[in-house]
Amino acid sequence: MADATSREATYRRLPGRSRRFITIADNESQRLWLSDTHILNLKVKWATEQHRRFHLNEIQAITITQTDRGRTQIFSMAVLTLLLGALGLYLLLTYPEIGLALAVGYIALGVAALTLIGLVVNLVQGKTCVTRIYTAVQTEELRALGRVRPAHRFLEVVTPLIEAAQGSVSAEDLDGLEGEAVRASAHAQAAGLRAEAARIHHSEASPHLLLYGLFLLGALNVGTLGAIEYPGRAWVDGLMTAVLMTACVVALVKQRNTDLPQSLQVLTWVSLIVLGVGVYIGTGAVSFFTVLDGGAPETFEFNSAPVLRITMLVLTGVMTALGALGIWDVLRHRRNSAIARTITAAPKPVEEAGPDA
Amino acid sequence: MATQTETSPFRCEACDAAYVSRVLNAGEVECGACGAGAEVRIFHALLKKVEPGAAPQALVLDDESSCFYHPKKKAEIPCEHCGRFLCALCDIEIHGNHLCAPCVEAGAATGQAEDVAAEYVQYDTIALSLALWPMLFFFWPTLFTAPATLFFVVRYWRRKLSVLPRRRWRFVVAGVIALAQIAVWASIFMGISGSFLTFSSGGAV
Repeated sequence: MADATSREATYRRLPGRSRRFITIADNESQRLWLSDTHILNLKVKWATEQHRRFHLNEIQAITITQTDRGRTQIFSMAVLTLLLGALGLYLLLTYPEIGLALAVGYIALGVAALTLIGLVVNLVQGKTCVTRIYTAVQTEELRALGRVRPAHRFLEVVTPLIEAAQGSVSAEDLDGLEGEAVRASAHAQAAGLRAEAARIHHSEASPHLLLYGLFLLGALNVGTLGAIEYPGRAWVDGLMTAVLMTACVVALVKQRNTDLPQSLQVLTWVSLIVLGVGVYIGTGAVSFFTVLDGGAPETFEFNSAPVLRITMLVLTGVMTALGALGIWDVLRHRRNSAIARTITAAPKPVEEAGPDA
Repeated sequence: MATQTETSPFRCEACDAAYVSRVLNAGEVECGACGAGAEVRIFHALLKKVEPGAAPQALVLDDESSCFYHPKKKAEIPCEHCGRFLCALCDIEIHGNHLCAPCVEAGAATGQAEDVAAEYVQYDTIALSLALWPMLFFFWPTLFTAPATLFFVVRYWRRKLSVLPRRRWRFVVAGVIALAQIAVWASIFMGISGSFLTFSSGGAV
């Protein structure tokens, strides 16, 4: 065999990069590279590199669609930064002589700083999108192009090269394309899309509507803690938490393989985190502040810990915001689905009017 | 000519509605269904008609050799690795070498046919991680990881690690760190054995 290095193509880096770090073993990064003849999508997961080539003369289309993912991430990070920052500052200022409070306060501020950095980075990176590349036999999402700005820079770089390899699409071509030619030549990818669509089923998001309705109810319940007391209040609080948790888990299970927008799916995960934080505050934090105030857990009174009241008020605000946002997203999804069905439905033949008409 | 509302084969990622044809190559537009920003750039390859498959293969006659994998097809060429006769369908040409599919697959799996591999293991990253990570926590695991690092450096030094040109600096750094760790352990062991010898000889010199 000939020397392998003599055959190595020269590559130059294309805009865009994605990096996902979930655990040490499950981190993944993607980059795009350009050679004279093809685009290379390089995926590195821990110490394994996978690649896929897209030859310039075989690329049929590139699509960029903006998504709400960035907005949801920014919202979640802003809420976390505010909550943790407020908690950390309060602990440092109120209990400066207690070591435990100082430690927890510094940890909270540290995590708040990290989420703030994430928030700023997210804002700087700009709007999010999904970019797909189509050939006659495959459709691939280019995760490296998850932001609109690099995706457009990528298009600016590769479009002239693809057109040089294939020839450009003229206005006449487009006219022809709008007719039967599209369906005839793109049958392979349409089949792929159909197969993909078969796996993904439509959802009216009813569990989500229930969840976010309960969230608004829960917000009302949390907001009145310490202010309105009645017999069996603790049972109602516990029941509300359990129902919310169950509804959240049901919504998470039901949203798998559905056409629900990504923003709604992410929001449901954020809801689970908020519920977890709420439960933590409702149980652990009461004991924590009781210890800080030097009392026994059974002598704790809700109003004796102002920070807890403030945190509960913040939690009420977050739950209200989540509930409202969720319901709005569900209704938007339902409206979009209805419009999409109307647009993609085959037009019914117009019945000719009879002589009586 | 088609109407402005004719659907294209591309779909909005946000609402799954098919884009109408007028959004094709129209720059930045909005999805007609959900309003999400979108750009659909199409190229000439989309207009190409689907080519029919390859011409029918010649059938084998009584006095001719047949393909190992298709006994009814006439053999065209032997596999340069295993020697099996191959028809035109089974012949895979890689840089002028004619191979059969199992040989290509086996070569890609063992790293011998590196040019056709779709996946590479970056042994230099593994070696560097083995050299560095244990030092972040405790030093004692390096007693085992340092020799393992050296093994990776020596064993995979010549292996192709990436489809892109990749320099070997990770291997070099990992090797130097591993050697340093081994030197530290050697000095510790020598110190211990020296103390032991001194102790067993009653401290007399």
